[in-house]
Amino acid sequence: MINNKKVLVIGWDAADWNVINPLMDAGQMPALQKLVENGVVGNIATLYPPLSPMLWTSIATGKHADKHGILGFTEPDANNGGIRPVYGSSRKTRAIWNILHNQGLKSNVVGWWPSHPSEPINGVMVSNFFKMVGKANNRERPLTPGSVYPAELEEILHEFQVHPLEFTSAMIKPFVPDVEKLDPKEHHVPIEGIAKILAEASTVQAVSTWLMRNTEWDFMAVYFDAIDHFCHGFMKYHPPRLPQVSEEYFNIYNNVVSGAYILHDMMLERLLELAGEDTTVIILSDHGFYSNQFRSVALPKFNSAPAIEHSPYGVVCISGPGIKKDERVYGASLLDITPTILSIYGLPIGKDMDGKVLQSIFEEPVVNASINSWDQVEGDFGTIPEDAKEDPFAAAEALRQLVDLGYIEDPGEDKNKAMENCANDNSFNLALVYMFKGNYSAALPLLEEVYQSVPDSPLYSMALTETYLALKKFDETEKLLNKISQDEESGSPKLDILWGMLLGYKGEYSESLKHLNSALEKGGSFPGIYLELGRLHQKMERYDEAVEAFNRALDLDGENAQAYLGKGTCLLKKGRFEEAVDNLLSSAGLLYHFAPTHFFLGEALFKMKLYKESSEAFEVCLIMAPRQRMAHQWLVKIYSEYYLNKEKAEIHTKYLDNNMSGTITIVSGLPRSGTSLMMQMLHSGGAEVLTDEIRQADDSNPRGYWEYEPVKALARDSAWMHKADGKALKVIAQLLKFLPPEFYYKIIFMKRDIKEVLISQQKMLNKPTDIFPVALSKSFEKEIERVEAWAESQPNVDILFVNYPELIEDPKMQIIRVKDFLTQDLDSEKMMKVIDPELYRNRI
Amino acid sequence: MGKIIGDGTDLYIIENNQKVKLEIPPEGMIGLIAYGDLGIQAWRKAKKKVYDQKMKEQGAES
Repeated sequence: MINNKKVLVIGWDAADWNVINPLMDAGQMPALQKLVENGVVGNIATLYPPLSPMLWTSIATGKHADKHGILGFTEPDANNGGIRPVYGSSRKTRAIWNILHNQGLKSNVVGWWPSHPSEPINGVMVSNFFKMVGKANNRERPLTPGSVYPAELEEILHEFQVHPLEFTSAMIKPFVPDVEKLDPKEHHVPIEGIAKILAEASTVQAVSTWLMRNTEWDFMAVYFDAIDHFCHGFMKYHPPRLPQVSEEYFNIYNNVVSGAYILHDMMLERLLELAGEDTTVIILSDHGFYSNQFRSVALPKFNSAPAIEHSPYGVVCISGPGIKKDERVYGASLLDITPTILSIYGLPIGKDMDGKVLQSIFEEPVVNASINSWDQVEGDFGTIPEDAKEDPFAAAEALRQLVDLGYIEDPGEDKNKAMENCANDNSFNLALVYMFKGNYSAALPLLEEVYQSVPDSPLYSMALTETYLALKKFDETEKLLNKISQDEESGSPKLDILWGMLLGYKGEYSESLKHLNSALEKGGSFPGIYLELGRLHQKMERYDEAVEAFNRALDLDGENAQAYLGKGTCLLKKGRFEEAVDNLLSSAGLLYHFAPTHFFLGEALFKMKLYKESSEAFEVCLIMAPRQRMAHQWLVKIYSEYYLNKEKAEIHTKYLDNNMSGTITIVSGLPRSGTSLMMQMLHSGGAEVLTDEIRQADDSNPRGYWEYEPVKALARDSAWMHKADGKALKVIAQLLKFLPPEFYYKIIFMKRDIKEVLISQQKMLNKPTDIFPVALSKSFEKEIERVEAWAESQPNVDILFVNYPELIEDPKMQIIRVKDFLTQDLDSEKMMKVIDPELYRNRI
Repeated sequence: MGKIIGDGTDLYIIENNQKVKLEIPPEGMIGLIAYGDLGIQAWRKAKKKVYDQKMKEQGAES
């Protein structure tokens, strides 16, 4: 039911707690401090790529960019040729204000990026083009047509358009105290830049306060880009001084960023005063901004390069009636804002929205209804009529600003080239969205296309390499990496990382390690290298080294969700379950929308016997990754045996029945532990086996090896596994962990005294048997322990240990065990006949 | 500091139930931006006053 609540959303592009907290501590942001004390605060995870028009549209729709269709700063301009700044009318889905319009609620929206041309909503919309007044000699510029809805407010609001030329040095002084002493020739660019940013912020604030004082509204959204713009221009001068920055410039500009935040706090105070205490206020940013050692002094030259200065966590603070006070919110994402606002109004959430309601912020639990999609609801949603006209002048002005900020290249005169570049960039951005969502198959054709179009773009080629890697297309990866390596003389750290990843996937661990160390030498320390090092050590099951690498990543970036995840999974493997849970929770708290974190959290909680909590974690995992079979398998196990819930167990069983690919019998063990014998027995007993007989019988195995050649490459390629469905397959112990999760496995694991195994192996390799390989023996013992632990943590695996000497000595009993285990009607007599005690040659 | 109110041309500070007109320097101050529409209007009025005065003086001189 719709209620009469009021919600004010204030967008501070690029705001970051790392800058805010010291200012609040110093009492320089009292308005925000008050809001923080009376509400919930936290990090808000950005999305990728972190480009503001895409992000603010995700905030306003609750959807990723593949659904909302805003794919960059610019878009091809079909009417005039060339490109134009991205328009709000290119959005493919309804925004929060459209939904509220449909529900009879009044909204004021000011400056949202992108929101031009203004939409005819119930209320007022002032587009992001309204504030752009250009540079000098243009003080009397007419209002951009279409920037204000309703048009009758154009004249009134035009009065509040503030021009940079209005700004005196007195207004610049809070940012640059010595502005009057500066040489205008040397400093006119940054000073004019400050005036321009201030003018635009003043316009947004003036329009917003006028609307708040003179209109009735239920929802108001105000967007400021000034912090982002100030940071791109002046973060390099923010204290502490970077060694690359001269003392002179540092002294002149070191106050600009702090000044920007203080100004925003002053503006916030006025907005809060006008909103009144009954209004729920949401302040948020779309991403953070590096203010530490990751700050950039000079940016590389490619479109969207400034985005590398954006850090992954923005700020969120929510305060108002029914909202908890002085608490933290964990795991918030930009995608959650629209669902949460709908929840505040008592409106249903669209099932097609990617975000969730931030339930934990409410004092009382809220019950959320849902509908399939607001886009399928008939009726008036206050959207732009198809024939809406654009203003080429305004578009050119906005485009100029993007060029000035370094977000896009100057399109110059060549309109066609600009259009082509823009189309490529937007395809690339869409591919990045798919990659962020883990949908590499969808990213692949887009990346192949843009790479073909611009083969010398390192951005495109690196992303394509990453995608090939993720899809385990190793040949393509290697080919592309070789090509990139040829093009680059010295090779970048990124290239070394990719080589390291490829070799790691291929199991060439020491070579992989060399490349990662080389990346460290070339690129210095950055978290990405340590993440890959950690992952490599993890693959090598060197968990202590992996934890150390993840810790190094965390030393450099204490908010690195992937590092916490890596550390958590290593600790899980080491059986340090409580620590694993702590780290996995830290990861989820930073980056909630990442299914693997919840999966491993579920596993760690299960090990701690916290079955209810474990089931909740797996359920969250399935919300994000509904086809994660292993999460379904875990839930069947938990609901059937530990935290009983027959109904839920049935739901997941049904899913698995419909989606599991089948059951495979695996015969495993260390080499020379009787695996070939077991394969023969199964075959003789009537079971179908998968073998290619490429490896011929020899003296060591006179009755054959019963192997299947592709198994050797199981770590890299398991696409053939369906051929083993319903059959028995021999897989050595070391490769079990690479079995793909879409099958159930019945594993018959052959056990034999390690000494016997080793002597048999030494003989087979024509090595002396009088020198016992102690280290190898320990390694094999450890392998068996690993298999036991692994099997225990695989919900799709049943394992039966068969002792080789017992099989030889009492075959009847062991055959009964095997038949029971496989629930197959095998011919015991025929199985028995295969066993030849004379072949048990290395008995100790 | 007391509450600031505006009437579209001037800003006032309310302290001890007294409404006192704020003197706005024509060169401006950052708080005017924060105050939004009323701040901008008051600032422009202050600038115009100085400008008009200057014009008047120039007129008298010529």
